[in-house]
Amino acid sequence: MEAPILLVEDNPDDVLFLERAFAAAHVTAPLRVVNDSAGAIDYLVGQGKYTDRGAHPLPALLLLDLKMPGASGFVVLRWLREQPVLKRLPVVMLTSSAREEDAAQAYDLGANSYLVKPSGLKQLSELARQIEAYWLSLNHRSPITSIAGSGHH
Amino acid sequence: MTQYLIAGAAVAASALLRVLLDPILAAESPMLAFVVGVTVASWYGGLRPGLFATLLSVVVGDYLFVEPRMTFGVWSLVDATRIALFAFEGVVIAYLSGQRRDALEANRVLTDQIRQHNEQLDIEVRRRTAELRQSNEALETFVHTMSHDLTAPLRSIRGFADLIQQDFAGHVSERGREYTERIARAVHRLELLVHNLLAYTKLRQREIASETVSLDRIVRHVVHDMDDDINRAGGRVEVEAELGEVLAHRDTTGLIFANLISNGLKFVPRDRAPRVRVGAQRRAGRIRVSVSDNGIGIAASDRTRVFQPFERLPTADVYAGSGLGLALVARGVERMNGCYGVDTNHEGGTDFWFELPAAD
Repeated sequence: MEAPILLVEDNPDDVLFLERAFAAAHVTAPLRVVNDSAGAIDYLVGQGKYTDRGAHPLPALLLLDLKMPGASGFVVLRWLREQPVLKRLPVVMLTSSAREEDAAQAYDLGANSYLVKPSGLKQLSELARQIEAYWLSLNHRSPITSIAGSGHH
Repeated sequence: MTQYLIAGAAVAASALLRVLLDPILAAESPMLAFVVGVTVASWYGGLRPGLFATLLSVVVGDYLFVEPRMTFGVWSLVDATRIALFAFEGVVIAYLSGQRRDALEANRVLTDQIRQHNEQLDIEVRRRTAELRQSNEALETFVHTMSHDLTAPLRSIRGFADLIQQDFAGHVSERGREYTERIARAVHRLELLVHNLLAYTKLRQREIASETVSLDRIVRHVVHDMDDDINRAGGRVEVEAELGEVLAHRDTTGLIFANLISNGLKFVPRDRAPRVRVGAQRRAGRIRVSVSDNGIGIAASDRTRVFQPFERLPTADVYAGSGLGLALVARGVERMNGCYGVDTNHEGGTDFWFELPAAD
């Protein structure tokens, strides 16, 4: 299975729209969704519901929302950049916040890109298309592995 | 206390001086030397030590130097007059010195008061600035939170309106499509209002940093983003080639163009196709950008009012809008140290212009 895009997003409407947008942009990589920071970390570690790496492969790209109930996207980002090897996973922030401070903090914590969620299906599809074209096709990734000692095949 | 000691010492020194000069002066000028002592005592002590020195000098002088010596008597009228004259001099010197010291003291008290006042003002200013900064931060957080809380549901409404159109294209009548289209448009207007409100708040609160920006690139992006609006209005936006580069803030400049072009598309009579023209002219170190339209125009008397926030001219009442667009333009240009204005063009429409420093 092609490496998926892992979307970390709590708003179910936004999840629906993004799924439709990626479908409309004919992105072949599957879109996996977790709804909070804990879920994101579980998925990336391969614990909890996500121990089967066959069913839940490591993603090629992380789309990370900021404002989520409980721990914000920054928590995931900070954690991720501390993990050996796993920290090479490209992270694109996808948030409704256009605040300078949020963008600055995201970059400080090691985000690769900061995108503001557009409104409207046409605009979202365009966004999905560009994300796929740049981050999945054009960009050269460095392989990431599971955290040693966890995950089965 | 020290001043009296100084006085005493000064008198003693004067006495010593007179003793040393005794071989030359003998009985002449018994009191003259003490003038020095009294002056010194008065300089350092003021009126009372001066008077004390005078009195002490009279006693010591009479005893030691006025005939008959080593007694408190006075033989001649001349000597008595000398003593009296000396006493008079001493009083005058002491009095004047006292005045001088009083003046100095008053000055010192005043200076102290001023310094204290300044310190208090400083504390007050610091306190008020901190309060203001807190209040501004609170306002910004509030506006950001409101903006976020408003845009999320708006995004949902717009998204589902789009999805209905897409998924049920076969099942929905022409009227149904029109209604969902109008939902999407109303949402878009609200989104613009929230966006403008947020941008306006930011402009009021913060310093914005300028850099070299390409006007051509900014206008190209803005027109591209407004593609739907332009088509829906059945209008045309013509952009001159090579507008140039200026020292400005990219996002703010984009916002200014978006608002001016949007106004040009919006404020036209019903039966006319809107046409907006964007041009630029080089003028001595600045670039004057013009956005002209063929719309309803702005009366000369309204030219200042139109840039006030939430001002809607009566002629513009029928047109939807927030009343913030031009206020944003005004505030944005000002923050970038530019100037702006509005004229009526020969078609009866409006020419908006703003000037920014050229990048070279």
